[in-house]
Amino acid sequence: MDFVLARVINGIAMGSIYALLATGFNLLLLVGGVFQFAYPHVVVLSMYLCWMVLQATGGNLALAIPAAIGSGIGLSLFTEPLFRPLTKRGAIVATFVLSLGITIVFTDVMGRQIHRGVPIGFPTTLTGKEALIRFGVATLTMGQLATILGSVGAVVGLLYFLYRTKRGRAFRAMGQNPSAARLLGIPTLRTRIYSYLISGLLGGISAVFLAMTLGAAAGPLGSLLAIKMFAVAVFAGLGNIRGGLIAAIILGLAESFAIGYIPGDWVNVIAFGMIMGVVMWKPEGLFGLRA
Amino acid sequence: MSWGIYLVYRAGQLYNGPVYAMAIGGYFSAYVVRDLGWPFGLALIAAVGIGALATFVPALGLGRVPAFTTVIATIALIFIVQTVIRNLEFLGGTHGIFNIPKVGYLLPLMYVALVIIGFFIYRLDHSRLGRAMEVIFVDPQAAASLGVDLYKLRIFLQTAAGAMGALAGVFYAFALSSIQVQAFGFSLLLSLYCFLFVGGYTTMWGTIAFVPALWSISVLLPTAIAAWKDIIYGSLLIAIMILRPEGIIDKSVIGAISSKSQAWLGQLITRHKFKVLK
Repeated sequence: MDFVLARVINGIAMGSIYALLATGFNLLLLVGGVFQFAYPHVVVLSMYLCWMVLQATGGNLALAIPAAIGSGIGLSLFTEPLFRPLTKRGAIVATFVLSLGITIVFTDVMGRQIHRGVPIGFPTTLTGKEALIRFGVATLTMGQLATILGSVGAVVGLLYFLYRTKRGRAFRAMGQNPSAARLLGIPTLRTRIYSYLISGLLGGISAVFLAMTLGAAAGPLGSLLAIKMFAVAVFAGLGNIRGGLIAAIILGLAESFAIGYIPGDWVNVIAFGMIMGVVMWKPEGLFGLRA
Repeated sequence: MSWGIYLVYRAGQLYNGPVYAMAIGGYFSAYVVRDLGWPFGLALIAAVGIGALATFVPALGLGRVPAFTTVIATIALIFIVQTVIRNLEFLGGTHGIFNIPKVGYLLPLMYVALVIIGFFIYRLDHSRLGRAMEVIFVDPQAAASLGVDLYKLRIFLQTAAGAMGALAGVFYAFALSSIQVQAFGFSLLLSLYCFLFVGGYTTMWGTIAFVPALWSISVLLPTAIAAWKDIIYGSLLIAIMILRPEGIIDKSVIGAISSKSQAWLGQLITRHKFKVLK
């Protein structure tokens, strides 16, 4: 029982982060019109910048956490002008190619230029590895609790914004039909830039929670997270934000339980298997496209 | 390999299948020749068949999904194949397969294969099917209403691309006499995208023109510069997608070259005739 509980806690914590990532990705796809493969790389680069601030300030969390969130927003906004010519033409698939270029540059910077390519580790003051609550062998750490509550809070906040505010309605209108949204007087460029800002904010928050949950980062982490993010997005249905939340928790739990039973990196095959299973069985995803 | 991606992209799908098919083809041929003693020719044919099969089966599902899903699913397949190979001891795990026997006629065979595949793609591009692919790229719904069977066409193209990828894998393994699974990941994918999109995806000639130039970055340049290969490729890809998304060599460039060369040839013939008459 303790074992199952431990797996559930881990699964929900990782699933919450996947949910944040998938939400940011879906937001960019729906509103920004961008197939942003480099989004998790933005998140991991934010983790690196958070680590650099920690190193420079002797472990000052009050500066490092805003630095991670700020760099998430900054990096996301930095990519917007790069994608703009392609989004104007509606060339979404081409945006994937461009984002792959960004991916490689970011991965190379993280994998070779920062810390001489050596993986970085976060201090326990951030990760909070001390058990907050203990149920036999199962423990709930401060980092896990903050990750779960913070992710739920961020996603609930986003859903409130999307479904209860005027600007949120503009976002959804852009997602459904950009041309009609423009005819209705919605400032499409400004709304697109806001989508980068919000997804950057979610990315920055994800960076902090990833640092808390994983306690370390390395260059290839971005690509691994990207494939998990895609698994969630395809499993739920591309662009389906609410479905993505459920799919993220399912993936987190599936991985967490698999770690207990399957050896080595076979665990990662679960995410990839989920993608292929859904593609073959229900190509539009479990919850349909763009809800 | 880039032609494999080009082939499917012409029909509107960004397809990464040639990368995992290359891994399958390379590993299969290396294993059966080195450990089971198969003759190279038989291994090559079987590897191409297996590569085609490994792309045909997923194509049954991928043939009817949106372009985004194809991108994601084929990246997932790259990871699945990498993980499976890495965990199979008889394929050498993470170390890969070494001491693959040399094949004396490999280089001429590679050139012959290149010419045959190039001819196949050229004929396809200039056939009714090629024109149908062009319509699909612009508007799949219009193509479907004109009677083009998108599903069957995509299955055919993905399978052909897989076979080409597997063939490239065989050549890769036997040219280097070794094969490691790490080679078939994002770095390779980026290189292929760079060749295709910098060269130009609207014609088959862009790839041919830019592969030697871009590949030489890692081979001919000093190590200090070659170490930045990935950043150079990434930056080039970003720049080209912003400034000239159709690539450097597109149909208008080919048209201009073709008309200029025709005019030059015409002048040459006229001068020759004039000399003969004199």
